[in-house]
Amino acid sequence: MASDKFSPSPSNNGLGTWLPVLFFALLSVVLMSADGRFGLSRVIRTYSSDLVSPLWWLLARPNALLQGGLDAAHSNAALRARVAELERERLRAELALQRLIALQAENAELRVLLEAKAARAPAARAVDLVNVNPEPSLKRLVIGSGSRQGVRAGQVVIDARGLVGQVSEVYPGSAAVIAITDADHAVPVMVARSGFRAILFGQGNDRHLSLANLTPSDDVKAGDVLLTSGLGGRFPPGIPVGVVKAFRQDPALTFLSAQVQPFARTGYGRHLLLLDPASAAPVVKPAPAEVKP
Amino acid sequence: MIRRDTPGLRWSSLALAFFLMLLPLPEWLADLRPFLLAQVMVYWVLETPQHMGLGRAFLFGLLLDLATFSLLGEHALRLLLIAAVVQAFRNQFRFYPVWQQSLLLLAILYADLILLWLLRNMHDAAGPAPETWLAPVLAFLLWPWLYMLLDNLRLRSRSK
Repeated sequence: MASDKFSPSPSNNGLGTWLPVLFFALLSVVLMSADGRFGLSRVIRTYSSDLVSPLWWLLARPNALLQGGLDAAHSNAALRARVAELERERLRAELALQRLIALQAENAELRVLLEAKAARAPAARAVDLVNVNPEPSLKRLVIGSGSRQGVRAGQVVIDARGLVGQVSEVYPGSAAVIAITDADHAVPVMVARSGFRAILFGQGNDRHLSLANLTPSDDVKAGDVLLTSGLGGRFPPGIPVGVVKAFRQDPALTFLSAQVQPFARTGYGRHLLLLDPASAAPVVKPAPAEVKP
Repeated sequence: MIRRDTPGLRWSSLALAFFLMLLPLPEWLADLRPFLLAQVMVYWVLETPQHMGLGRAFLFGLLLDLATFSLLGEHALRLLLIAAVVQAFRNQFRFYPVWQQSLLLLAILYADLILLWLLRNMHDAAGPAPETWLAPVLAFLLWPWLYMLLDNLRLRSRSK
């Protein structure tokens, strides 16, 4: 076993022992600035992704084992109850679906009347969630599809409830997703009720995002649903994002900021939906009653 | 006394600590995750400094940076400085009673968190979560057990 060259030797006291520390500290500063400026770590991760994919697989095992154990421990009665509950849920969902079909037909008719282009539902495919980034303040997810499966940077990721985030880095067999809750992320949104547009900022927290720089005259109320506005072209319009929970006065007392709870639950489930960029078209288009500038 | 080296135990304990740093945890627990890799590294810096020096500390940090999507060099600098401080105080550190070692480690880990906060501020990223400031306390409580466990395993594999 080779020894580490940078270990203290008994004969070497004083300034000499701190030189390697200085050397490595400077090296880390160089690396940090290179990474911040040119995305050095992204390049390294791209080339090493096949090497580390077993690690991701291994990291998912304890949780999978626990889930498997819990599933096996379910008693017959509990399973029957669950089946009954799922059956009821299916009925409810079917009912809602029927109502939706009626609405869709009505919507199509109205669109023809308005001579608008038919809105296509965006094509989406399910992808496996492979890992959630352990660093709590950075909200990154790893999905099990990459450039080999045709995933591209900037593709939009949703779950059954709402917007999750977008693909930030693509590797051959996997991809990293930056969540809307990440402190470095912002989404252009609009209030479904009033059509008011704003930018929604992540805060590095899974439970709330922030709608900053609101003035008291802006038409936003607690309980308002936010949808993506489609401005900027990155996110297709009409994807549900979250609901406005509470308002807070900024320290300067000029602006308000709203706390928004996201719909997407990144803490649950193992699958996400990846939207196909080619078919990015409105899902829901709320009628903007009065759009304020 | 002939000191026989135990590279198997060293690498496997470091690998396990690395793995535990990455293991997905429920959200309320993830913020409290102690810097376990640093603790295991400190043990090996104390016991076999010739095999666990600054170069390796830096290398482990770089690997952790790549795996956790943090800025390349961030964990590397943190582990490097922890290793450097422990190396500098090694002679005192080793002969302290174990609870006193815990206290010193607590101070080192808080200094490390302040460094992390500074680094994050410097490139305008979100600092450590409020709960993370409690993580060194967990590390403090964990150290005596970790120390005894690794010591036992090392003595056993050495005597074989």
